[in-house]
Amino acid sequence: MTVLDKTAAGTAEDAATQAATVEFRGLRREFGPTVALDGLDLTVRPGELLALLGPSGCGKTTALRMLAGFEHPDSGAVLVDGEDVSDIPAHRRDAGMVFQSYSLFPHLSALDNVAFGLRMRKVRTAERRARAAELLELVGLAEKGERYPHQLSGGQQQRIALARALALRPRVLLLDEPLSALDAKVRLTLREEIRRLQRELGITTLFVTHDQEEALSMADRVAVMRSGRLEQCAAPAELYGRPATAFVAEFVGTMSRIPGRIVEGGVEVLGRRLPVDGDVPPVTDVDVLVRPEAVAVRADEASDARVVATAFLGATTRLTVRLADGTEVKADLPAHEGAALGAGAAVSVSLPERPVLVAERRH
Amino acid sequence: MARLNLWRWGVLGLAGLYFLVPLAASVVFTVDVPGQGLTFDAYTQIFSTEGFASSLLLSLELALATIALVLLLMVPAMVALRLGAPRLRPVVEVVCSLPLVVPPIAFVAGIGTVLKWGPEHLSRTPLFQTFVAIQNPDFPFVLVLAYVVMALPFVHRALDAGLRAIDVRTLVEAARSCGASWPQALAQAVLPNLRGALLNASFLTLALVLGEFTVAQLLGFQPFAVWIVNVSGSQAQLSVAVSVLSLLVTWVLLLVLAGFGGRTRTTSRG
Amino acid sequence: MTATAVRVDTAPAAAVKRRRRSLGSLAVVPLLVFTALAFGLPALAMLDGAFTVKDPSTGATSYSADNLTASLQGAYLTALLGSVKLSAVSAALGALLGLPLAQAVVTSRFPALREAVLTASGVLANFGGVPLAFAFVATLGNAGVLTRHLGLTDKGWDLYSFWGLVLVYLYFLIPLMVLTITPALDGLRSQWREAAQNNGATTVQYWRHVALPVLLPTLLGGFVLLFGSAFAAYATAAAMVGSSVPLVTLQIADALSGNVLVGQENVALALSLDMVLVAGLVMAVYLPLQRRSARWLA
Repeated sequence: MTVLDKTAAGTAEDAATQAATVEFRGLRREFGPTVALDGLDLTVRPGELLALLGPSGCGKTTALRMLAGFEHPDSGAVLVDGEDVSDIPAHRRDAGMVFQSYSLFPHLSALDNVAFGLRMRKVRTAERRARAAELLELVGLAEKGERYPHQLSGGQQQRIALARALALRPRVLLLDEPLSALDAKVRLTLREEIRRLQRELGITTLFVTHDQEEALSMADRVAVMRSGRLEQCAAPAELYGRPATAFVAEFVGTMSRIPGRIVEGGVEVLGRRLPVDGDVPPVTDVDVLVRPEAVAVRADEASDARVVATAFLGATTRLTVRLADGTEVKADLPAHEGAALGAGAAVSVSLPERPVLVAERRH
Repeated sequence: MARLNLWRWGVLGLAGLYFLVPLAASVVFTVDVPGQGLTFDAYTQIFSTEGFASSLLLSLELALATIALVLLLMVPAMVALRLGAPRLRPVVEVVCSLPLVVPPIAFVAGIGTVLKWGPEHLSRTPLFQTFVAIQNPDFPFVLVLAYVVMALPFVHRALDAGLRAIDVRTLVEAARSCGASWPQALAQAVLPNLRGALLNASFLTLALVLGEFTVAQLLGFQPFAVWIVNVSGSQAQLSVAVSVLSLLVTWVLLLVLAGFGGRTRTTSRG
Repeated sequence: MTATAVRVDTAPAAAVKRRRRSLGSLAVVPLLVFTALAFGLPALAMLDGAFTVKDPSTGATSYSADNLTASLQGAYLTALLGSVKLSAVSAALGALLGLPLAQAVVTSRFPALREAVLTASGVLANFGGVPLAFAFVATLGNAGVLTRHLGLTDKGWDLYSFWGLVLVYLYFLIPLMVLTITPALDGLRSQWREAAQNNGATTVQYWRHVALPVLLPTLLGGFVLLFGSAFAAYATAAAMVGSSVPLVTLQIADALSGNVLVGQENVALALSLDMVLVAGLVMAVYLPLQRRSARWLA
């Protein structure tokens, strides 16, 4: 089946059945002294939206660009449906890409931008205009087809870019931080829009972002990367609730470190003994990692711990508490409870009777 | 990738050939005189040749006067446009681009006509003395007037680029809120940030005046460029030697300046 | 309370604003007065002279279009057309040759090379003039180094011909093109190339459908600018004494200095007016093109 047939036939259902599997196998890439990818192994399941999350310079964009054919691995392979695509040039990769910003051709109208790929494939004018109009409708900009990029807002430009990426009915959709240049409000709506479209089309999608909230709220699974390697790839809830490494734990969501001691059958922290979740490091002095919503705080005149800062977040108030040993712990309280505790209040901090994550103590 | 590099080096090589051969050949021309063999006379003679020192000096004086006058006119105007008179901005922009529409030769034709009014119509008025004074061959101020006009587009572009990179209004307001008076705010906060642009504008003007030929020749004065041409008839080697030297000196000056400017540009972009 | 406070506040603020505005206008006045005198006066004199005819017998002057008519006839017309032809040919060549050179410089990985080429371009494009002419005379003139060593005269080479002048003009036109087009090439975003590839375009298709159309206003604008620059050039041609190519700038200079015929000053002014009109036309074409490319490549 050629691309054109797919274009003509394309409906959401058969797209879903064609959705591709993508595999990265042992990808390595160095740029001079820096190692962008250090043996990345990752599999993207058919039809899922997988977010590549990590701090800048972790190699997530490099991995995406290798799939698009803009970069080549020093070693390793990129497989689509089990086939090595390393030797296929970028213009025949069959992977639609949305760039961070400013990727629309400035001399073409929105419609012609979307129809660009079809023009390259020599599709007849009438047919490609019809198809482009259809795609504009899909991204909700049917009436803006004649506008030029400089006449469109940032959010509209990214929608057009999305439509253009989908025009050739690619087997994989690649999104390279498509929302990072937009206003917060627009970012939220476009986030939902992309997710809706991706579900409708059932297209295998890779989404690169450094915004953990974006990754957690949109993706089926999130792959957290660090220094060119995969730290953990899991569904958002699992990533948040059961981070595999201390790096993931602290990169995703907010984590406080409270000093503790490994003892027989658990860890001693804040005067109680709790079971350990996951691996126990081979040392006695450890930090216990806790989420702010898991920390309980109550007024306690007898305690040495003091509230040092409060931040009103709407439904909750986030307190920063300094313990007697100087450690700072963040805790989320329902707003009405938090209101009673101002800066300087003496409080006691406790953890619920649940297994906790521990990490080697950082100095 | 290799093919791409080959293509690039091919282009650069051809360009280098075209641009360097005349310079190299000029050097050869000056030292390898037919019938005399290898000789450096052309270079050793430069300083002792009649008119070299005086014409170069005249050109430098003209350049300094032009730079001073053009900056005195342009800097306050450009800063004021940023601060309080945005409506005049298009006016100044047009005024500063007009010299581009009038080629130097047409401009000098007009100047010549105006200068002729002096003897024809004004000989009994005090204005006549002014006309005589600005045409004093020792220091023809009329050339400064012409060069300032011709430098306007360059200076405008350089200053505009410099002002674009800084937020004049905020700088002035910040300085004022720290207790600086208006003149202090301009001198201590704005001008230091414009140093790159001012240097740039000055060097462009300097190069323009040193190389200018059309206006000076047709008005009958003899600054540096006109002297080179006049001397070329009798001493071909010498005139080529001076030409090559002046090209290289201008280039090195501007390269030094680009070093300055490049650094300020990157910092302002970040 | 708040209302009065606001009112009290705005009054001095408005006054300050007004004062600042008038101060601003005041700083612009010297510049405007200067240009009116140093530029406006000669321009008006030229305009006036171009339309003034002097009766040789009575000495009386009157306004007529005779000078303009004369400036578009005979040797003057030949010179005007010669200038247009020389400028058009060398501008077209300069634009075509400047583009690949600028692209080679822009895509180079050595910032020093880029800086050196751009600075050299600045020198050659704006301030070549006389030195440039002498460099070429020394290289390819009748007694030039290459002419002698390669025996070019026997092969029909003549620096003082049309193509000789084109060769010399390219020496400052190509740098001018490099200066003009470099910002545009810098403005070509890598995302466009990648987005084109991503949409199935080959390198050739990318240049044909994206890069060249985006660059087109700049290319045309560059051509027009080069044309204007070549058209106005006088020093180069004048320093290469003995050129047999008729050029309008040489004609004006001759007429002004009374070299050919006495009493031709006003025809020279009319010729100057012709030049201004051509240069004005050049600007009228250039500015809209420039604006469009600035919008695309900002």
